[in-house]
Amino acid sequence: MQPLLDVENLHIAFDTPRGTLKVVNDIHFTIQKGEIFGIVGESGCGKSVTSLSILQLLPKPGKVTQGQIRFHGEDLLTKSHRQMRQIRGDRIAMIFQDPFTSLNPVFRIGRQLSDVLRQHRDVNKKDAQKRILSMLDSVGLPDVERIYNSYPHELSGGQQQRVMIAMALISEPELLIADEPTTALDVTIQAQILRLIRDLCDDHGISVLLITHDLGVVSEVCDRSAVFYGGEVVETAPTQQLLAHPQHPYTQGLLSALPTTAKKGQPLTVIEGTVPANPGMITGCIFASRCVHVHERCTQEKPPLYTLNDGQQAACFLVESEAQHG
Amino acid sequence: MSISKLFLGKQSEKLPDNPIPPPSGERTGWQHTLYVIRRDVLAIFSVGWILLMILCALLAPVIAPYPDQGRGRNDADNRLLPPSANNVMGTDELGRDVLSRLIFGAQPAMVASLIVVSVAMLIGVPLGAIAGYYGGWVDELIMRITDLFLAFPSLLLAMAIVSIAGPSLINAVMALVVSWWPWYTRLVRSTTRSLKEEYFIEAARAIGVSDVIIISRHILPNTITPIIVQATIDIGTVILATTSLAFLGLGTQPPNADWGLMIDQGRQFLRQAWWYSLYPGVAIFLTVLAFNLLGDTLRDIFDPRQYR
Amino acid sequence: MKKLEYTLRRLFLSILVLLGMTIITFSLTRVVPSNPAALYLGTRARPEQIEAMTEKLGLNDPLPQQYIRYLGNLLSGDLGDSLATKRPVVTEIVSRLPATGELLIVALIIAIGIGIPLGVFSAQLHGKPADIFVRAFSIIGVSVPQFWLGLLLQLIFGLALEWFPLASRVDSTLRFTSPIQDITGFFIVDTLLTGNWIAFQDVAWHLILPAITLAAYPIGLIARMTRATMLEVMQQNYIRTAEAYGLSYRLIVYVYALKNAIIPTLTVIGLTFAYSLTGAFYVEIIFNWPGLGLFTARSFLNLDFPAIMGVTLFGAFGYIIINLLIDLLQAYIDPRVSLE
Repeated sequence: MQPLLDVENLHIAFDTPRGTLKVVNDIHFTIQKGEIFGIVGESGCGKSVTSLSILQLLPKPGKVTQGQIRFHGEDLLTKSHRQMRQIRGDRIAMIFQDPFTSLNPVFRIGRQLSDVLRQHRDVNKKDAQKRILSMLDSVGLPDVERIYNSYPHELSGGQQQRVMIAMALISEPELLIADEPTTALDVTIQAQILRLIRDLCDDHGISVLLITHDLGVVSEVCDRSAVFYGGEVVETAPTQQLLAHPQHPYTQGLLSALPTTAKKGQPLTVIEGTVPANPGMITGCIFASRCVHVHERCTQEKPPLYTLNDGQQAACFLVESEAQHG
Repeated sequence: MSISKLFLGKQSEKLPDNPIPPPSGERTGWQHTLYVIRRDVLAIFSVGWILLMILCALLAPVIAPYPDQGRGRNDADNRLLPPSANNVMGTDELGRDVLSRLIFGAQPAMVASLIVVSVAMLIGVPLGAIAGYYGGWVDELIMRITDLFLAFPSLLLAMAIVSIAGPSLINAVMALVVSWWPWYTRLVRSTTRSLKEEYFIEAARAIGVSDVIIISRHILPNTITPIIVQATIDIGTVILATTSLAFLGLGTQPPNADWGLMIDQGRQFLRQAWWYSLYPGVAIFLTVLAFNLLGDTLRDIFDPRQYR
Repeated sequence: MKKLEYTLRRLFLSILVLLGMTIITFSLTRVVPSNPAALYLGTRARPEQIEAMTEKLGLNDPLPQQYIRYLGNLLSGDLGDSLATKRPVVTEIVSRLPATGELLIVALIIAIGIGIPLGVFSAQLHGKPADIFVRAFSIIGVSVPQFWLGLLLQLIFGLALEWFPLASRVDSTLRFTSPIQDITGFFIVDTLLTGNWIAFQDVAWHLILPAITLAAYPIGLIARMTRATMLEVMQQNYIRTAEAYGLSYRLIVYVYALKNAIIPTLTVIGLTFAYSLTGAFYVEIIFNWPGLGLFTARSFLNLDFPAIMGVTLFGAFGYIIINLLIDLLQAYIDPRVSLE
C-alpha cells in the first residue's frame, strides 16, 4: 500500500555567513494512512526543521539540498508556491508549539478560522460560521459563541491550542503535522490535548506526524515512532516495541535515563558527552562519540538504517548481523 | 575596507556566539556583495562628508577663498553675482562670496550641535540611569519632569525660550539643550531598567559594590550603543534645529555666517539670485543626511539582528 | 467599560500634564526674564509705564499668588493682548486656526497616504537591490530642511515651470469674481459645499506646494516606521501560521500584517503631527500663508511677548490633545491595550 507520506533521502542545510550548516542528513521515513507517527529527539536534532520542510515553510537561510517528500506519490518539494498554498491548511495542516504567538492578536478567533476555511472551501459567511462553531465544539471548547468572538489573549493556553487544532482540522486534511503541540502547556492539559488529537484523528482517519522531545508523549499516542539524533534517523519502530526493545544505543540510553520508581535511590544514568555542533561534518556513526558500545568501525563508516524483523529499523552496526539473517 | 570591520574587533567580544544565523534576504552571493558595498559607499560618503564639515569648521579661515567676506566684510561692487570662476557659488546681496560664507557657516552648525548633544547627554544620561536603577519615588519624580518637557514640541519650547532670552546663537544652544535632554533620560532609563534585572548586576550588588560604581562601570557601558546611535542622528537633527532658528532670526545673528540665516536672507532674492538660498540648503541637507546615514550604519553594526 | 476607564484615566493624566505645562510657561513669563513688565510692554516703554504695569500685573505679589491668577486667566480664556495688533491673543489665534488647520490636515493626509504604502512597499523589497532607493528616499525626507524644501519647490514648480502659485491661499482677484463663503473657514470644504468650482480649483492649487513641503518630513518618518514594523511583524509566528494555512499573499501582508504594524506607527504619526505644528511656521512664512505660523513668526520678530507665550501654550496644548487622541485610537484598534 502506498504510504501517505514518504520522506526519502532528505538533506536540509542552513546557509550562514560562517558557512553551510547541515542540520538534516539523509533521512527516510514513511507515514501510512490513518496512523499516528512520532518523531522524538532532543533540541536541535532536526525534527522541527524536517516538519517545516514538508510544507515548504523553512525560514530563509534554510534549504532542502536533496531528497524527496512524496505525498500520495507526488513530490511536494517540486511544487510551486501556488500549488503549495492549495495544499497547506487543506490537505496537510500544521500546528505549532506556542499557540499564543501562533494566533494573530488583533483579529478575533472566528475571523481567523473563517479566513482559513473560506480560503479552501467555497462557503458563504453564514455556513462558515456554523461549521466553525461546530468545530470549536468538537475540540472540546465550552461556550463556543463567546470563543468565536474572542481575541487570542482572552483564552488560556489550552484553549488556544484547541483553537489551533480546530483551525487545522476545519478543512478535513489528510495529514496533521503537530510540532511539539503540548510542550508549552501545563502537564494536566497536555494529556487532554494529546487525547483530543488522537481521538479526532482516529475518528476521521487523519494521519498525524507528531514531533516531540518527550518519550512519554510518544508512548501515549503514537503508533509508530522514529528517533532522531544529530539530524539523522537512528531508529524506527512501532512505539511499544521501541520502548520495550530498543535496538540503538542512543534509544537505549534515553530509556535508561528515565527516572522510574524502580531506580529509586540510585544515581541517574546519563549519556556522557554532548550533541556534536556540526553533525554534517561527521564521518561514521553520528552517535559514535557518546556510544558505550563503540568500535573502530563506527568512527569510519556510517551505519545504514538496517531493517529487522517486524518492521523495526536501527542505524547501528550492532544489529547488522541480525538484519542480514532476519 | 568596510567601516563595519573597523568596529567588529571590539564587538566580537560582546556578541554571544549565535548559532542561529541572522535571516537575510534572498540574495545570491553576488547580490549580497553588491548590497554590502553599496551600504559601505553610503557609510564612506557620510563619514567623509562629516570629516569635511569638521575641517571647514576648524579651518575656515584657511580653506575659504575669501575669508574676510566669510566673516562678514562687504564688497558692494559685486552684489548678487551669479556663479562664476571668481565666485564658484556666486555672491550675496552684500557682495560676499557665497562659498566662503558657506564654509564659515559650518562653524555654528557643527559646534552648536555638538555642544547641544553633549550637554543634553551629560544631563539626560545620568538622570536616566538614576531613575532606572533606583526606581520608586526617585524614578517617578524624574520621569514626571521628563515627560513634562517631552510633552512640548521641542522646537516650540526652544523658540519660546530664545525669544524671551534674546536672539543669539548661545541662547539658541541653551534653549535646545533644555528641549533635548529628556530624550536621553527616557532612553537610558528604559535600557537601565532591563539591565537592572540581569544576573551580573545582582552579583555585583551581592558582593557589596557601591551603587555609583555599579551604575558607572556596569550599567552605563552597556547602554552606550543605543545612546551613540541616537546621539549621532541627533547631531543632524539639531543642525536642522539651529539653522531653523537662525532662519527665523532666533539664532545666529548677522553678520555671522549661518546656513539657515543665509537661506532667510536669500529668500527675497529668490527670483534673481537662486544660488543664494540654494547652496546653504544643500549644505544642510547633505550634512544632516550624512549624520542620519551614519547613525543607521552604526545601528546595523551594533545590532545586526534588527531589520532597520 | 474597560475602555471607558482607560479613556478617563488618560484624560486625567493629560490634564495633569497640561497643568504642568502652564507651570513651565508661567516660569518662562515671570521667573526667567529679569523684568517681565518691561518685556510685556515692549522696547519703547518708559520707566513710569513699567512701574505702572508692574503694579497692574501684580508682579510684586508672591509667586504662588501670581500663578493662581495666571491660571485663572487661562481658564477664562484670557491670554493677554497682542502688542502688535492690540487685540486679544485668543482672538488672533482662533481667527487664524482654519488656515493652518487646513494646511496641516491636507499635509497629514498626504503624508499618511504616501508614507504607509511606501513603507509597506519598501518592506517587501527588503534585501533586494531596489530596497536601497526606497530607503534613500525616506532618509532624504527626514534630512531635508523644510524651509529650504519649500523654497526649492517654489523655484522649480512656481518660477521655472510655473505650474503652481507661489503664495497665499487663494488668488485675490477671486474675491470679486467667485468669492468664497465663510462657513467653516476651511476653504476646501467651503468651496465644495457651495459648489464654487472655480474657487475650489484655485484653492487646491494653492494648497499643493505648501502641503507637500510640510508633508516631506512626515512621509520619511512614517515610511521608515511602517517599514520597520512591517519587517518585524512579518517575522512573527502568527504570520507563519497564516502562511502555513495557505492564505493569499495579499491577505497576509495587507490585512494580517498591516493591522499589527499600524499600531506602533500611530505613535509616530502623533510625533510627526507635533513636528508639523512647528514645521507649519516655516511653510507659512515661505508661502505667505495667512495662518497661525505666520502670526507667530511676526510675533517673534516684533517681540510681541504676550502673543509669543500665548501661541506657545496653545501649540503645546494642541500637541497634548493630539497625542491623547492618538493614544485613545490605539487603544480602540489594539484589543490588548485597553485591558491593561
